[in-house]
Amino acid sequence: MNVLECRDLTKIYGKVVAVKNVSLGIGKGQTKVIFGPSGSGKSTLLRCLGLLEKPTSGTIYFNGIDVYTTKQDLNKLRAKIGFVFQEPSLFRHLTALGNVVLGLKHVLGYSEDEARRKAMEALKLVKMEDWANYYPAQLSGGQQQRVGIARAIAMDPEIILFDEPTAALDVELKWEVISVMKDLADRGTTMLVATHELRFAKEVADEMIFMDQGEIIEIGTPEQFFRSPMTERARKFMAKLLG
Amino acid sequence: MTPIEQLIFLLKAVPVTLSISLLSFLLGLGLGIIFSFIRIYGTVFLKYIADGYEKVFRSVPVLAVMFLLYFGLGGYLPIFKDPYFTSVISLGLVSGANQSQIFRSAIGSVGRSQMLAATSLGLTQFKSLRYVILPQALILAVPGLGSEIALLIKDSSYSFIIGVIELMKHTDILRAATRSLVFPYIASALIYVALTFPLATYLDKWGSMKKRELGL
Amino acid sequence: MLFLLNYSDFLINGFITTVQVTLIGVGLGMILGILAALGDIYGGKIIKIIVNIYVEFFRGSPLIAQLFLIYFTLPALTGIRLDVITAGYLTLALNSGAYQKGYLKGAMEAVFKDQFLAALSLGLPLRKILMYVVVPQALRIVIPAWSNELASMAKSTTALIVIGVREFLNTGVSIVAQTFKPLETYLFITIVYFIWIYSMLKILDIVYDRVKIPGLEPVI
Repeated sequence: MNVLECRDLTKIYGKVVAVKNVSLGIGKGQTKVIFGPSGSGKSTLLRCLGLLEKPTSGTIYFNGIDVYTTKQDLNKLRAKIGFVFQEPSLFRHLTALGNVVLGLKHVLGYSEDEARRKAMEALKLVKMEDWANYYPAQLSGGQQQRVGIARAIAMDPEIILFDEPTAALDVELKWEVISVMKDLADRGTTMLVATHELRFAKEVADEMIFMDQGEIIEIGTPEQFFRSPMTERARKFMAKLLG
Repeated sequence: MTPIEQLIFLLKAVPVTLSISLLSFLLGLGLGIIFSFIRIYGTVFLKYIADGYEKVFRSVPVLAVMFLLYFGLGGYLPIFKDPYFTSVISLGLVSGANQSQIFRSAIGSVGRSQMLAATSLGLTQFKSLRYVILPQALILAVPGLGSEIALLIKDSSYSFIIGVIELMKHTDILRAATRSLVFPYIASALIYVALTFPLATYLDKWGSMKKRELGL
Repeated sequence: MLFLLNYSDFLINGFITTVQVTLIGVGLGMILGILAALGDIYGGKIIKIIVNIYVEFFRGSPLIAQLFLIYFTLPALTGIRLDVITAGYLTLALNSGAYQKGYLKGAMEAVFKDQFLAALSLGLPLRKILMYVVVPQALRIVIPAWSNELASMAKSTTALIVIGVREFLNTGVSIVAQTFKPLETYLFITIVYFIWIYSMLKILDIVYDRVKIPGLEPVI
């Protein structure tokens, strides 16, 4: 059974069809990578899967349960689905530690001490324990993203969605975020990652999903995509990314 | 009086309102530039004075200043018996404190490196300020100065209380003459909006455009 | 200035009135400002237009003109008669709300933009998002703008003289009428305004310094 799955998911904003009839699922322990040109609907799809936006039509299943028709408590499910954003989204009035503590305390109901201990563990995993007491503005973009990842993993989610976590970073800062994500994948974390980092995809992805104009164009293993994509569009885009 | 005639009567007072605003703005501009430079580059003693001036005039109501000068000092210095003159001085003194702050933050944004670069060319401090810092600071200050003029146009209405015959006074005269509480007040409020709105909006747009152009 | 001691009750009452109208004006103005900001961010086209007309009108015209409109024109048009102090409160609130809408909108947008989704993704319910994420930040961002608004409102209350409110400066006018000592009276009154407004600014400065956080810059 898939941890998270969507069937025929469509999202329309006004007259713009952002995501069109997308079906995909992520099984326990899998890492899947979504890629495609900007505006291809990756972000919208992830937000729908993260239950941050309601799809216009289609169904989303969490552990086999239809989320919307059975009227689940969305906040409880959101807590089980981690989300890492493209733009640094840390709460700016809280330190790195405070950012990780917030959800543990006010969603999962940990005591202050427990929450802090657990938050420190998460910060250690992303190698940010020495920066626990710094405010977001005092951290680099890469460090902020690592704290964002710690904030997500501290909640012990069943799956983590990454929305191009390195897209807004300088080249030299990308690697530190990517290596953290690789660690997570190696530890068997269930992940769906939107990214253009093909090296990351090649090393850890079980499956790659190519999207364009709101639709899934091609699904395959990294080997397939790197050897010879089946569709012309995927081939062109791969060629562009690989320079 | 037809509404058109009433409107014309109100508009006849606009030059007085604008001249009070403009003169007090210019007085405030001079004071603002001088005091902001003093606060940044001056000696300790001068800084102290500039700081005090700014603090005092940012914390007192302009109408209280007008009363103090017109009724209070007017008895000793006849020049303050002139309400027009007193209004310009009061508004200008208060505006100077506002403008000093506007310029201080503008000069702050120009940056220390520009001053260093200017002195490294061998320019004296005065010349660096005059030819390098001030031109840039003026552009950065434009949006702030725009709202300052708008503020002065609105605050010039206080001068009606000490007897200047400006737009608010004409409104009052019109109210008495037509015995209407509706048209004169609505029309004059709209005239003020028409005077201030384009000014503040246009200067704000111009300022940000110029800033982008010069990469400031 | 010792003669002013004879009028101390009178002066104190006037000063209290001034403080009262300032605080209530800014307080009610904040509520209006929040509503206007919400209307401008989330409202439909018509609400946006109404909000903007309201804001531009009250920011673009002098407070004195607004006082006349509320105290004289409004009753003439609607038959609703307000006493001077109510008209004063209402006008100051409308005026302050128009100014406060600007920075409140900025503060809301600054917090809501990226962090709202992040808080949502953690599973926080709306009430907790407001309590732990939005409000603590919005308050910090708003304090400097707030202190500007309080100071400018405190100075503006002198305009209430035109509709006859017995505020602080107006008590001065009455004292001068009896004592013929304008210089001392108005000097004293100006000094009290200065001490009051300056200390208000200072206190809010200190509060802001205590709670400020690097990177959380105010929007003005």
